[in-house]
Amino acid sequence: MKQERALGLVFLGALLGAWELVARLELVSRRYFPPMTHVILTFLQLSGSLDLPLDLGRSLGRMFGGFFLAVLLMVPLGFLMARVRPAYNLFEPLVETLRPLSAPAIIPVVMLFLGVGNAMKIFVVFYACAFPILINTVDGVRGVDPVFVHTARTYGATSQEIMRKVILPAAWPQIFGGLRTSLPIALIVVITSELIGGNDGLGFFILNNMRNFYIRESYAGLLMVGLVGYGLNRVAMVLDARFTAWDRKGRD
Amino acid sequence: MRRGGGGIRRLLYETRCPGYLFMGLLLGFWEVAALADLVDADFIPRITAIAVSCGELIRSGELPQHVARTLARTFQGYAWGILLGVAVGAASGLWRPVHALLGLTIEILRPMPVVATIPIGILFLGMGNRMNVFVVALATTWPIYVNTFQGVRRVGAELIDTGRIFGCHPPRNIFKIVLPAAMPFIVSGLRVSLAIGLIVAVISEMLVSGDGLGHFIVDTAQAFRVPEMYAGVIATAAVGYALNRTFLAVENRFMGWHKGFTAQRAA
Repeated sequence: MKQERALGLVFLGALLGAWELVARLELVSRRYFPPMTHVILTFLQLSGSLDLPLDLGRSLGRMFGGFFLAVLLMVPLGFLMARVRPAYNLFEPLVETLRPLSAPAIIPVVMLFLGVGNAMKIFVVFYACAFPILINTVDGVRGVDPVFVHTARTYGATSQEIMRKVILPAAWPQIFGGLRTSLPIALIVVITSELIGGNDGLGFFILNNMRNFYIRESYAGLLMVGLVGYGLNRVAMVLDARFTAWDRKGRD
Repeated sequence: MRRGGGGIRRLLYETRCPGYLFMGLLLGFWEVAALADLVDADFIPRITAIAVSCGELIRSGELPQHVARTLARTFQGYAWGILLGVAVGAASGLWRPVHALLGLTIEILRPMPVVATIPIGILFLGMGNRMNVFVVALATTWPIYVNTFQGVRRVGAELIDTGRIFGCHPPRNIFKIVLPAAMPFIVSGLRVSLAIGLIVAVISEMLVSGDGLGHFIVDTAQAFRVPEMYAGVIATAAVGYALNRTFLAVENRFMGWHKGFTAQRAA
């Protein structure tokens, strides 16, 4: 196991070394391809001068804004659709019609209404996250074993108690799965919205620096996006292990 | 009328009529609001106006042409994604050293949102078609890689051993035994990737391209041809829907065997 990790590190190191070497020897024009060390240096400088952290903050703010808005609205709607048949019949066709309409495609439309500011980006992220969260919540709640509910009712639990203590915990792993799916989507969509319409945030940072031929800065922005993606993935994995591991154990 | 409450109740509980009615109402409200100038008709043209412009764009061949360009890019990138994803995924699943070597790097690169690489992709590949294809290839590789890797990992040793007894040795058994056995996994990766590929193709066209659906949507939005813009968005959704449906149909046709097979094994 340790050996394998070492081998992986060696490969990664070799790759970075090759990058450095190719750039130093100018096998590829340095205007496109700055040495890795320069990129890291620029990254550190930009982090120190708060340029990059500020744009990171803006992107993350929009991303989590849209994400939590989707959680706040779609989890309850999912419960409603799963538990109340007419509500399901009311919303399901609309959801299925809108689902193939991908978030990036609606960015120009939303820009007409909301401009290029935060509201547009938060809305688009919300839209993108809404479907995985809603669909997983509906499936999760519908998939709760009715025996659980009947048993609780037999023992005199009120509907509210059943909801909170039986259905929510039983549906939780799948709801969490929806949240986990939608988080990386949120990052992609917020970056996309900043690339297409905007004047700040990480997506704009990368594009704008590239346009002005601040190539190192552009790479540094990309490095930041990569770190955020990696970090989010790690956090999701840790939360997953903490909150839903019991479920997998129970099923094995 | 005679069936009264019971009929309505059944309609509410057992059919999706309420949903279609709801959608119809929304669309009707949209039409009336636009017609009566309750909303800014520049931003929200009448549904009928959008439908008319859809029809015109289809008849003039403009929209089909952009759809064809987008599809061409999607499939070019997708083909690369399949090649890379299956090759690297299978190699990593079959041979531990390969996984040890590449695993860490892939783990670091995979969560990177591909769209963020578009500006830098432009530096290397210019504004042409190659850039769009590259981004689609990159985006579609990951899900295929992950699914192939997991599928190959799960191929039981008994299958490979049985093959060996019958004289099916490496590398022939990779194509005869391992990949077919991993196929259900690979196919689900392919499906996810196809949807991602289309979206990424459209995004890349929004940023750099002279044609394709993404370009069409942004271009019409900037020229304030709003009904045409809506038509482009609807076309994008329709293409996504059609691709997914087609994939499912093809999957059922060629992968139908595994449903019965898997059920049998589980039982």
